[in-house]
Amino acid sequence: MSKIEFISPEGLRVDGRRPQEVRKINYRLNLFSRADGSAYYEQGNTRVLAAVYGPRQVTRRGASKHDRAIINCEYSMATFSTGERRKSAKRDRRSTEISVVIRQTFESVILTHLYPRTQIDIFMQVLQADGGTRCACINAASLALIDAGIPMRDFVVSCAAGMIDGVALTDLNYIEDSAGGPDLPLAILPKQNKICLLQMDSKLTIEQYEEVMQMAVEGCKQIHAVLDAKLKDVTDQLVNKRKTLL
Amino acid sequence: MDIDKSLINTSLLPGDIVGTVVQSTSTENEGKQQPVRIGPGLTLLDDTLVAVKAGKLRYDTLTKRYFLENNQKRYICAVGDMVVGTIKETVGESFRVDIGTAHSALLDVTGFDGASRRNRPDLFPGDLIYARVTVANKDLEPEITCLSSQGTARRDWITGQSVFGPLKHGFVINCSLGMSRRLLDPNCELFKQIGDKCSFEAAVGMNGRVWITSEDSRDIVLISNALEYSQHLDDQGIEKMLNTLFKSR
Repeated sequence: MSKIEFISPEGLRVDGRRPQEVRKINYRLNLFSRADGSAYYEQGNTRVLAAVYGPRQVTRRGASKHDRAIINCEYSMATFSTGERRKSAKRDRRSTEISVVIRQTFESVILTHLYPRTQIDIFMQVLQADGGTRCACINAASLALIDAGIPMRDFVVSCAAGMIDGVALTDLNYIEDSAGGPDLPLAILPKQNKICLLQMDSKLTIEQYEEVMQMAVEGCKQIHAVLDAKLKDVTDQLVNKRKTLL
Repeated sequence: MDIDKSLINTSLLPGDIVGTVVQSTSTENEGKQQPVRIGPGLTLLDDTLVAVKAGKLRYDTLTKRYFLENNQKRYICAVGDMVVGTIKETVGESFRVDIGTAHSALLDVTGFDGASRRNRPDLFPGDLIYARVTVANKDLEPEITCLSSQGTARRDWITGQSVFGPLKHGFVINCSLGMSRRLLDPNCELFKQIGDKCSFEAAVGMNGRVWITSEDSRDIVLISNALEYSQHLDDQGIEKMLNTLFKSR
């Protein structure tokens, strides 16, 4: 089996973190002059970009809804994002599934009834994948939606947790993800304490599940604290000036 | 409704609770409870008043409303807004105008001061107009008009002196909604500072578009650049930037 020591005798993981520690987070808003909202988000070595357009005219006739906005989500991984170069498969199974899952997450949060017969596009691209890409994309999309000024019930935060060798771990990186243990991506609305996305791979006993679920919730709260701390300043800047990278 | 007054003029994020509905049991309080008026950016969700955008909570003493001041690029139509629009096509007796909203706006061909069926402006796709929004409903197409409103002087469109109507020559730049609101503020220094350097005419649309014209086309370019750069600079930076830009003039 694996010769990698996922948890050292001192209790440290492969990258030196504690089991309940989330990776270092960095982000930037308003990168693209053309998009209504955009965000660049880093969680450890995972780097993603999100761009939001809307509410704008529906591109596919017949798809527009008379009483609310439709949300169009596209998740894709850049060909250079993984260790080996991927063949550019935008429509592969995994990307489509993640796109659908993220769309459902945001459909429950965005106040779509305010903009009937329009479309809100959320594009997410993974620039560097090191585990937890769908969670990082959800966080990036949340930030991009805030940048675009699209009304939401709450700020969505997402974090994954898993279990390796009987130890519950928060925010798995690629090495830990590939270990074959269970992976539980979770997205919550931190202020309302509601879950808007819950997925799980592999198998867990009920007791283990409770533990891993709790770790994921704590991870989400940690991420929320980090994002919240800087966002108030960013909002100040948004209101006073609009700083762009380009 | 119990509003947390300490949050006024602070930055809020989506989901932040601004106030809660207070169920008053005593009858003497019922008469004293004033209805709380809310504006954009705040919504009532399950008995709590919640911020739904990122912005600063403000209280407007004139309209006595609580609202969220935010800055975004996408324009959402509101009645009474002045907008700079581009004619897209003529549909029957109206023009279809692009004002930046999800759906194009309709402008009646006779919606100009002094216009009649025989006497109306000849507008082609690509022409610019300055108009005000008369119908803005989430379920309907927005409607605009170039007729003068209560506060503006009424001049026939032929004279070219009307506030609303076709905009000839010049150039349109896009800016954020917050920037256009700031430009429309009577205390805005930027137009005065630019006016010190050269003469120009501008129309600011609340849809994030600013039309600028001047006699010399080089001046138009300089002013457009000045407005674009001023979005990222503070007051001192703006002064420096204007001096550098207009130095060669």
